[in-house]
Amino acid sequence: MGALQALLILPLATALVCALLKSGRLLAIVHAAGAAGTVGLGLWVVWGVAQNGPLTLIEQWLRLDALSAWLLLIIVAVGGWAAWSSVPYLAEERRKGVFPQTKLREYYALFHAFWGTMLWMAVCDNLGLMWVFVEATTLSTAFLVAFYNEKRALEAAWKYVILSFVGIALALFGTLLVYFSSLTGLGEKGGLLSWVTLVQQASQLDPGVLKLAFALVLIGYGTKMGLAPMHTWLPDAHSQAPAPISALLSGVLLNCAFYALLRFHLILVEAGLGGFSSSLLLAFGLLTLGLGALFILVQEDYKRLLAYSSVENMGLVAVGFGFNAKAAAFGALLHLLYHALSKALLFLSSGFLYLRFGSKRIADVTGALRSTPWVAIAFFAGVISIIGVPPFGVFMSKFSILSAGFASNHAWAGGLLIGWTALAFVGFLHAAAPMVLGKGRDDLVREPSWTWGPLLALAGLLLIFGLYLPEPLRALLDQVLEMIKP
Amino acid sequence: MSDALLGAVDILNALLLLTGFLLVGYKRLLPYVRVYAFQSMLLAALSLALALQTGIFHLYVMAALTLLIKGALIPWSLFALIARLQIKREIETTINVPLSLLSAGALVVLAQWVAQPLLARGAGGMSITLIVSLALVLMGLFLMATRRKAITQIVGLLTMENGLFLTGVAMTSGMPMLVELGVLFDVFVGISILGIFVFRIRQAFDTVDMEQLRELKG
Repeated sequence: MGALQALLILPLATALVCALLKSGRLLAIVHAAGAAGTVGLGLWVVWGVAQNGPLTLIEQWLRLDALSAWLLLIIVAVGGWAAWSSVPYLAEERRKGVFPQTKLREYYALFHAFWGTMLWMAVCDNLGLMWVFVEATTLSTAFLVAFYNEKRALEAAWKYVILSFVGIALALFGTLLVYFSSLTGLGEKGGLLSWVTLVQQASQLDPGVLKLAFALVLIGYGTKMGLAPMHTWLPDAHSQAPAPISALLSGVLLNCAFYALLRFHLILVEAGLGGFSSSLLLAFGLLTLGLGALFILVQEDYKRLLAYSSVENMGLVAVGFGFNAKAAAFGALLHLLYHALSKALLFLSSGFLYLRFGSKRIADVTGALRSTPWVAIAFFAGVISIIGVPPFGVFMSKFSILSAGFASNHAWAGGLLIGWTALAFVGFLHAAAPMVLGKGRDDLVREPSWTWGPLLALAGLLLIFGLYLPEPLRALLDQVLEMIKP
Repeated sequence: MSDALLGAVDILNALLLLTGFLLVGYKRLLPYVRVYAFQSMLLAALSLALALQTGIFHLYVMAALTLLIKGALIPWSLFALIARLQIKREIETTINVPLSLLSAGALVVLAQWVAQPLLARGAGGMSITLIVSLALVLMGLFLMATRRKAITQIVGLLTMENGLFLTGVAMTSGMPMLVELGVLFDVFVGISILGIFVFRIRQAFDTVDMEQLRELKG
């Protein structure tokens, strides 16, 4: 069995074992072993693609190319950290009696199931199958969003499932239209919705149908990735879930939805309709970016603030591809990685802030640096990173998108981009600075290192990636850029 | 297509459209779920008719599974849910019945209009079915937007999904089989999850009126 097959089976097997175990010590061991295995296999597979190029598992159905590998890398990295932090985070919550012991089993089983569905989604060559797995990610996270089972969590989960369902139904319609165009344009040669086949034969697909399909898919997967105005469920779901799950939802699942959208965009580019799809991406991206920035400015709840920041950043990524220029796409791809890691760091550390201060209100958290210094440092590193202060990588990715925008004659959009990101910068700092640096209670409690250790390690990785991107990752990015020909 | 089959498809089309209007017009919950079950059975019959005509194997499978899961299993669990929650009151709508029916009529016209460019591009084999299917999708969306009870929202969702399945049948004789099976599985699991949520929401809020869920804002 190859590494890729093992990677696809391991998380689901771990989920199954977790579901069967009693909530106890063995559960934590199975979780840790499963997570370590998934991360190891994932990195190995990504390394393989960076060295040897695409890998076809099942013709027409499962295939791993550079773009999938890039997404796989993000899923594995953020997932690994979320898995690591889950252990101390849940232990602390258990100590406070936030949820009953028996629910631990549910948490770990669903965690691995969720992780697994994302990995499957990333290796789908088939657009129909990809839809099935995007929907599966919604289903596997429904009970995680509703984990605390209180009013707010239930409301958030209900909205999340219903709106994702409706959105994604439109994406299914779009997928169906692409299938229709491939059958009428190519007959038997059209294949069974395989992305590779569609890209190869893109010029023979009906442009009118493709445009309609893309519009539907944009609304559909756009709902799942938090594009305005379909983003309304997102701040609720991401703020109600347990912190490590929020990290996965915001850091990775949004990227997965964007990835699905991107596959369709690439078909349109190949069919010579790149102008159409990228201008739609640009318009929706700018709207999303602006709305996210405005909501950051008025937020009183820090988990919702982080969620709106995700909305803003997904808008930025959409704009990056909307500029329809290679340099901007490069920036957007980098931004996917940097945003994922930064947002994971922010959500994970905000979880520990919540445990310490017992409130999600920004005003209730002051001077965290005095009472829980390491967590506060990790949180602040995340803030500095996400708003784009060098030497963190987000600065570079934002800058690449922006300069490519101006270079490709999008001065107007570029100006808006500067304005909105500046607004988000101010809003974020204004909210976060008092939380970390303000006058606090002087009741320093020694937190054991296994709680904040993962957070500082992630902050360190973020810093290193900002300064130096390892060679295999560069090779991978080059391969992805070759797939994107504006 | 043989004349008998053609006639059958015509009747099925008409009945399917009728179920859409019934859902929009009904004010009681139990008939609501019955109409959905009936709609799913019609869908199965239509897939079967197309299977008989084209001999495409996977349409037989989908007809059987549609009958089993959407025609029996899902309605049955919705009935069980309604019985356990002891919901008796009428469906509350934000728009009254005459206006709802009028809107449904307008949606059919809209579906007709949306279908034209697709028909012009060779989806002509089952043109009426395509229009009906799009109308069902739109009516499902309409139900979700205007109905306040959790279960009516679920039925709206299911109607929309039925419409999409029918669109697939009309345009491409269905999606690739593996994809159809995956979609069906997702729908079934999704509805089960929503059912559990309805139950928990009832416990936490003491209502299944989704207008009452207003804790999260901004």
